[in-house]
Amino acid sequence: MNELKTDHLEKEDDPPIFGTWTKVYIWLIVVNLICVILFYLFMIYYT
Amino acid sequence: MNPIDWIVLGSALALIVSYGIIKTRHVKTSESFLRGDGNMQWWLIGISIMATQASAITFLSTPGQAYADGMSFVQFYFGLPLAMIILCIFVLPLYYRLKVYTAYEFLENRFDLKTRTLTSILFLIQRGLAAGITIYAPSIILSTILGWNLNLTNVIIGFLVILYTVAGGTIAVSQTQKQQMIVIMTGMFLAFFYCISLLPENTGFGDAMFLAGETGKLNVIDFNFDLSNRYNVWSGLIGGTFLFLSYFGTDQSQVQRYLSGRSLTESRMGLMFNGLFKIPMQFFILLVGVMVFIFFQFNDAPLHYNPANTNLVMESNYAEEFRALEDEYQLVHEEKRTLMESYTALRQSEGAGEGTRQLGDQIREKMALENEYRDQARDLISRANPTLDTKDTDYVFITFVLNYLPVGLIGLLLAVIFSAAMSSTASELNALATTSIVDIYKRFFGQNKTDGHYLSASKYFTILWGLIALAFATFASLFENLIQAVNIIGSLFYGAILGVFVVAFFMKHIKGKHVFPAALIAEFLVILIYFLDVWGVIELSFLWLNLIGCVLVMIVSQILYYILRK
Repeated sequence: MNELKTDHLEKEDDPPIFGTWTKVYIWLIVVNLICVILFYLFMIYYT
Repeated sequence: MNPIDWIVLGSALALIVSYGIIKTRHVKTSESFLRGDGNMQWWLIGISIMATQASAITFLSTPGQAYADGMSFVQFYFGLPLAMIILCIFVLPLYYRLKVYTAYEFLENRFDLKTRTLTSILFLIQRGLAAGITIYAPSIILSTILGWNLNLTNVIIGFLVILYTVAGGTIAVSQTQKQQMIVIMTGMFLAFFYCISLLPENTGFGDAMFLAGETGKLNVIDFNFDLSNRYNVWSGLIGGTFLFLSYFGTDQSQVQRYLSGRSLTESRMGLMFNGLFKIPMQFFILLVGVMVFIFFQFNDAPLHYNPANTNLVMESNYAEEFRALEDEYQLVHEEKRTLMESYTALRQSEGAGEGTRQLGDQIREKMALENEYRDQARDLISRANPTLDTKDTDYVFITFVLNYLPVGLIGLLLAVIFSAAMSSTASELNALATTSIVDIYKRFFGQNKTDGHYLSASKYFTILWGLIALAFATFASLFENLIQAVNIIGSLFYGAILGVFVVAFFMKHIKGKHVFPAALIAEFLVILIYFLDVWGVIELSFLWLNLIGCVLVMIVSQILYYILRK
């Protein structure tokens, strides 16, 4: 089955490990950090 | 149950199943069936990943957990975004480059055939048993509460899942998960807002949160590093990252979801989607549990939430004692309710001060007393029947849903539970069939057959695994501690599987001749350690076996590398 159609994969532009995706990863961490800070503030405010 | 609820539940399930079947009529090749058409968009991958992880027990247990222990469980997920990033950087590109159908296929490329076969068989055993529990766990709760026939509930969930998973394979799983997530989130949001509307007139969301804070339910963040505390920021970041790396990186039921992406970019975005929404989603589900807790502070709360246990103790010699305990509990509950009303009124008029602090202390005293009564009730149940599971937090949310939500919404919330059970089970059956066909059948017994043959075989394997899961779910009720047994079996194998993958990715010098015997030795040692614990020689929670198995594979592989090099 591995020999079946996989052309779409061949066309894949595989970005370098720390290329354009670095920004996306940083954004993900930043957004989650903001979430954690908001949780913390939420906890502090109501307790 | 009201006929309208039956109509809502039946329509939601019928729509989801028929949508899954109709949308996948075009599936005519084994590739489409096993890996999708290769055109899955990122948001659909993300939803599919989240729906696979969130089973019915997530929506039954998590609010109950918040009811009992507060919101600290959310910290368990703090490592998930990091795990997503690591997978995007190291694992996804490799899977895509090798064009694999299963995670284990990669191991043959990296090591050898026997390593691939060993890990795929370990996965089939572990996930095959887990699929049965995914069906059984919500069925036992629904049948206990609603008086439904347990086996019939199992069969309905299993049959519906088999129906569309056999019809459309991977595509059907993802397409139906989209509908299921819509039902799940709509149901949970409506339950949340309806719960707020049921609070007393002078108590709003903010007042409810202040009460939750006073009663220790808003323990969202804990920065203290404490190994004995299961949920804190550090255990979430370290343990959570490790756990989610193994689950999302090596479990075929998840790997299959993101390998169906249109491109590597879409798959990465799918994982990012999961990393972005998972923590807020868990926070919200826990918040629902906290709201249900506050709701029960102003309404009659049962001493014990599992009605089957209560009925049993009422028919035993302990009935009188239990009834007396219930009366004392209700008395304390009433006193606490009055204190909470005074607290809210005082806070609204004067704000926080000495008065609210004193009332807070009194509320906590009453709560401690209530918990004592609840412990005593559990003790009575154990004495009436020592084999019973006395944990009742899984029954809290469903008790609220069935007794306090309006007609129609009850049907929708039951559809939420069914949808969640079906979405996880479908992914599991799909992954089990794919691993059976790609890693075992095609590799050993059925090479050079037509594509039509592989497509039919894939469907037969899906039916077979569905029936195995159903049989297991049916017999599960015969064994009291079966769920724990399945978790233990999972922990016995998961560590070794993860260890093989960690070696494959991060110890480039290790070859198949090192890792295969290392996996076998590690597995033997893990089983030995487990039995040493059973025999009382050592004391170790079975959850640690995951880590021990993984580390052992790495260490033994390295030792064998040095020995065989000479």
